[in-house]
Amino acid sequence: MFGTTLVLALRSIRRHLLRSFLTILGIVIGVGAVVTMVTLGKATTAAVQQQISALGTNVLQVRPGQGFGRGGGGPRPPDFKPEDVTAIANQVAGVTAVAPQASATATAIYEGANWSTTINGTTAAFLTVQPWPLTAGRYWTPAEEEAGKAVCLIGNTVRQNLFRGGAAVGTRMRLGNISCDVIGTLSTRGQGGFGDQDDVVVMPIKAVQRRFTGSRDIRLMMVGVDTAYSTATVQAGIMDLLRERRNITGGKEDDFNIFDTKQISDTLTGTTTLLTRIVAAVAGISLVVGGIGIMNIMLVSVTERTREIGIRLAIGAVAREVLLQFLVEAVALSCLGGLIGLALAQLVILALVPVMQVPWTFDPQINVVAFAISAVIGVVFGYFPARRAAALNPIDALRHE
Amino acid sequence: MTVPLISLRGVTKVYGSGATQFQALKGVDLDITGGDFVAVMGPSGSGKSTTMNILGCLDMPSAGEFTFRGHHIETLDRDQRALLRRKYLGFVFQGFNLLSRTSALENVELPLLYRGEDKRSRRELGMAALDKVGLADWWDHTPAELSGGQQQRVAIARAIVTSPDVLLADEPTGNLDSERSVEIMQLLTTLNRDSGITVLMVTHEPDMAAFARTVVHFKDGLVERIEAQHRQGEAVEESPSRLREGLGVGLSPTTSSDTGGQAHPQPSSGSAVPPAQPEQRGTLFTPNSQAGGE
Ligand SMILES: Nc1ncnc2c1ncn2[C@@H]1O[C@H](COP(=O)(O)OP(=O)(O)O)[C@@H](O)[C@H]1O
Ligand SMILES: [Mg+2]
Repeated sequence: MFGTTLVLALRSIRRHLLRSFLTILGIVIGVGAVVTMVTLGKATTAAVQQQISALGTNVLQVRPGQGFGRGGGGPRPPDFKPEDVTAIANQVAGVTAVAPQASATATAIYEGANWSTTINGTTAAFLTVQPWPLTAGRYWTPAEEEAGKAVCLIGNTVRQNLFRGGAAVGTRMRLGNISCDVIGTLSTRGQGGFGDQDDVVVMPIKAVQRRFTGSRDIRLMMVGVDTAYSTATVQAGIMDLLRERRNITGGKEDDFNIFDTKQISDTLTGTTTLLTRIVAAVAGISLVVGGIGIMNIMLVSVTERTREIGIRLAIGAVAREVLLQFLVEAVALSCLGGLIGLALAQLVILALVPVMQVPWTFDPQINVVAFAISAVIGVVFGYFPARRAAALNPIDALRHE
Repeated sequence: MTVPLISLRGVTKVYGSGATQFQALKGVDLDITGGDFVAVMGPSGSGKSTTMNILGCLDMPSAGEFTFRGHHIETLDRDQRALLRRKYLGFVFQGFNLLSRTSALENVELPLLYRGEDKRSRRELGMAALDKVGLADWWDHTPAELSGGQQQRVAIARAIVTSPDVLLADEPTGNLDSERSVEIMQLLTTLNRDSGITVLMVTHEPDMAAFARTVVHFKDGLVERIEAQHRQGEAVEESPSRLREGLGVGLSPTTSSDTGGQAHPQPSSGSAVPPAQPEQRGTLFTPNSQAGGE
């Protein structure tokens, strides 16, 4: 009986292609919108997380000043000193390592090629806080670090622009006014949300302080946090210590800021997830509207096909068969709409991924769920018109104009 | 003495209720022998279609008895009547009532779908039925591509594809010109004679009624009189009360003035009316005739 009904339903859909298409348009758009929104939302969340984790998770960044874009007037707060680094490393519980950073910009020159880049002076702790593997060469030794030797590790962008695929390790390049031995090449970190992270030359901090910045000042400390501790606790510990060391008492505001990448990551992820949910809910409403569309057109179709129903009843269809025919027709239509919607979503996602600069993803779960919803909508919104068709009196139906 | 295939006893039909109530049938008594070709005539509004709807198990009498093969139909529910139609009855309508945008063959196959026939036997039976009405070459044409006469022949093919006992036709030639009408009547006559299908037909036109073996005249919701017609164009007049005892049996022919002397298109062969279906006191529904047929 079911096979027959399915045959009848498919025939009817085929015979009324335009009407069938209009019927399912709402479902197509609804399913397409839900799948597109959820997939792109998840891709955006993933992209944001990826950019933030490039900064390192369980890492606190400590800078002088009151954070991004705050505290405009007044004298500039003092930078940190090497003693601050040692104090945090030794006195705050849960700190694995503290990497000071002193930065400068300079032009690197090698055999006629030149490239303007950022020089990042730090210590071996830098690699403890935020591991960064080498593709070739070696890290500097403690002796070289202590002496502030002009040795450097170069990022991938610098290597490509200066050495153009040739060997870099073991060469000597010019960096500003000094010569410096390339002892290693860093692996690719990629394009973060904060610029090209591979456009960098990393040197012992003492070399940078002596040859470029001319002071012992430290503009940034990267603090590694033991995973057994919460970043908030460690953040509080550092705050207390620095307030004491910088003589900030009572209600006076901090003249430094601590940036917790994990916290930012969580906040951003939460925001994008919430946005995804809101957009998906709006798209879901369009699905329901699509279902009502199906019901509408099925009701019109029942009226329009009253005579057909009369014929079927006259030649011996029982009410249940007529009901099933219309129900199966509605479900077949909505499932068809669901499938087209899924395909449409894939096309839209493929088109939008490069524009939105998010990674392409395929989420089987949302596809299955959206399709299942379209089938359920067919049953729910197809039942009422189908019941109305089945309840028709054959004589009245046959006489219907 | 043959037991009638169909029998109505004191059948009434009341439409509406209260002030708008209207009694369309006022106690119809009618017996129809299996294998007969019955024309139902009468003025408009006399209750012909109402009677046909009851006989076709599409509608229920308000009161009275309706037996088919000795079974009481007035006790059946909606679905049981549908199954009865599926198994024993075929319908032809004035307005053809074919599914549009659907090929002739698919239209003819429709009743077989509800019988659960598989695709191959649907094709075979459908083509055979189209062949009987002379439209085998037109199987893939939709109703819009067929003339009125052809459409009605497709409708007849659809009605007979299940080899029903009874073919009910309410003014089957009402929408056709006289030439097409005669073709349809000849087709019905052939089916009645060769396949033994009992034909019940409503018509306005005496020319069409002339093809029938029995003519039932309706007036004001009652059977006024019943004529038995000879193949040679002679008619037999009988009172309804006598006809109850069995149509076409032991009737003394009297010449009817309106059909007498007319060249009668009835088949001239001496073939006897096929014997009425033997009375079956068993169930009307064999297990495989249940809904869906699967
Ligand atoms: N569904 C209905 N509701 C009310 N009155 C009806 C209905 N069907 C038929 N009638 C009335 O019953 C009478 C007999 O109708 P019908 O059997 O169709 O006559 P006809 O002999 O012309 O076929 C008519 O007066 C008609 O108006
Ligand atoms: Mg009528």
